[in-house]
Amino acid sequence: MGFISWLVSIVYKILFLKGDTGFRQAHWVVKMLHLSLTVFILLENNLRSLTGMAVLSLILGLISPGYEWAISILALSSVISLYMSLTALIASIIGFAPVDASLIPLIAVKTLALSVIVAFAFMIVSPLEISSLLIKLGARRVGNIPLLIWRLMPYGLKSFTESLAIGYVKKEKTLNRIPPAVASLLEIGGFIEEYCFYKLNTPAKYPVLPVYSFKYSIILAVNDIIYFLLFYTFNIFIS
Amino acid sequence: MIEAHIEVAGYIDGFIIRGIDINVSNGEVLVVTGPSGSGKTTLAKALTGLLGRSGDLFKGSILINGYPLLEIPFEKIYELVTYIPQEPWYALVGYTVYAEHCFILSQLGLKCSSVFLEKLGLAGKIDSLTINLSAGETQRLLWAEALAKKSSVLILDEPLVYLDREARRIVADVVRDARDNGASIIIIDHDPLFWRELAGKLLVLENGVAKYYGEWDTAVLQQSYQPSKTMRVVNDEVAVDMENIWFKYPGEKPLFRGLSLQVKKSLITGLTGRNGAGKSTLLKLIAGILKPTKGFINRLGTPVYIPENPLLYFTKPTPREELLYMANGREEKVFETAEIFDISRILDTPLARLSSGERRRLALASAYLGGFDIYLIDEPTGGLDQANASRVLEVLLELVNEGRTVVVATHDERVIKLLDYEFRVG
Repeated sequence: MGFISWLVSIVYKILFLKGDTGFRQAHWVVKMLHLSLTVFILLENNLRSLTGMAVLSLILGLISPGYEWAISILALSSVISLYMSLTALIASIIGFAPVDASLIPLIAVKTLALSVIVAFAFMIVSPLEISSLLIKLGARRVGNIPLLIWRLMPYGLKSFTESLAIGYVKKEKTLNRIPPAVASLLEIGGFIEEYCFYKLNTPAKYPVLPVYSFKYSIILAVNDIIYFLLFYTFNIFIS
Repeated sequence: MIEAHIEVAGYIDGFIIRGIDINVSNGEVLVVTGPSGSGKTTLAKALTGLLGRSGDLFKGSILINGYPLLEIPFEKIYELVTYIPQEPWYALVGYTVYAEHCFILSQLGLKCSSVFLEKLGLAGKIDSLTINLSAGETQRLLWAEALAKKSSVLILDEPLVYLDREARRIVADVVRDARDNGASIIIIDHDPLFWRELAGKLLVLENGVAKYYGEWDTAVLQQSYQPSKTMRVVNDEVAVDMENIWFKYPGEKPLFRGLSLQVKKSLITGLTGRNGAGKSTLLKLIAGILKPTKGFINRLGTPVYIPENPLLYFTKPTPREELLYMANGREEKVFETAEIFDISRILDTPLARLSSGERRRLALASAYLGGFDIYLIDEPTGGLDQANASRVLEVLLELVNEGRTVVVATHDERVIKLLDYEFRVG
């Protein structure tokens, strides 16, 4: 029960901590530029630029959504990077893959950096923006899907862990509790499909965008400009 | 106007309602009542066309303003008919209050505005995630949508069950305004007397058929026995000791700052307060479902927690299996308990097919069989008619008389009257 609830709690804090606040309120143009820069950095695959972007992403994440998000992403990224580096080490020891042992720490750092960058990029995208894009592209009938997914994922997580916790209080074994917890999720899904039938089958007449914030747009834009200047224009950190 | 001629409607191989003929004109209110499991929600689903569309059983006709419901396009039905279900958490699509409300308005071709959210006291929650809303706040959000839609038909299933006094007053005003503006309104309520000043017609259901349908008549409504508070010797033994509790949900402001509370053994303690004050959260903290960020909680004995949504409580897929499991296989205890909670006839019905009230009674029956020391129950009489509420309250009183401790989170005046101690949260 302890590990499962810890893991769910971490995932929840990384993905669903807040609504459309903070950097989700940055203007979509600024976000597109940031995401483009992110994709460029990922494709370039340079450790220094990845690390630099990860540090900046973490600092931005501390500003919003806040320390809970930052600590959670560091925790989960550490687990992932530990896994990646350990598997590389084991593969190297048993001769399965020709990995130089001195590269293992670099694998760990790179994995950590990638996780933080991707998590931040994912976090700033608003489901309302995805919905609006779908509507603008003519897919008005599925415009509610991003909203529903973003409601159902945390709702499902919350219901699942609450069901496990209730079982724990009733002194039931966690493994025995998983099937009824999953079954309750399926039933919940059925009820939602039923009660939201007309809502889900009525297309939006126009797109709905989040309320944009000048402050967060500026901060994100300045962050990307600083990064670009440091790592590309002045070539300070890129070898 | 809504006109319904229902030959039979319900679930294949399950519960059905039959022979229901109703007519609700513009500017008229029909109140539907009856015991838990009598078919009220099944009727609501039939009237909204949900039964026919989901592949369940429906024979008959529903006419909205003279047009057959099943021939009206979905978008038009969505505009014409507002349905607020008994379990409001299933009726939301949006992940934040803003996303939900504004997307609904966009579906109607209306400009996004917070006017209706302000009217229902949700202005301060506009950026909140909908999963963090209390049941009462969720119901208010649906009411804000109903106000925005200005539908000509309102079907409201237990619209007050999670609302505090202030919200109930607002909702009663909203219903009155809608009626005066010509809407046809069908209200399903276990407490029909709340609506007596607004209601024009009354439908009483029992076992899926209409026991009474006609003009409002208070005499038709049976006054069931209501348990009364008994004098109990208050002892000083503490069942739950909470000291300096701090708690906040991830990403939210602290809900409790330094709260201390002692729950005395063998008493019924009630957690009351406005919507969103933290009653359910406090109950979960007492149960150990949630952990405080600071402070400690000591419990004397084994607790059990029954949530607002009882579906999360169960371990087995049918009532019979659930009760046998809690009774450690003792069949005679299962039958005895099923009689107490009036669930004998639904022992083999799958959980998803039970009514909300039947699920709630089953959860209580299951916990009763478990022989726990501390019973923590969220809205124990939510949506229950007087007879079934009385059964539940009798059991809670019996538990306390046997030396157990009961803590309930409630808005229900029937429960509040029986409390030994009331703690106002927030």
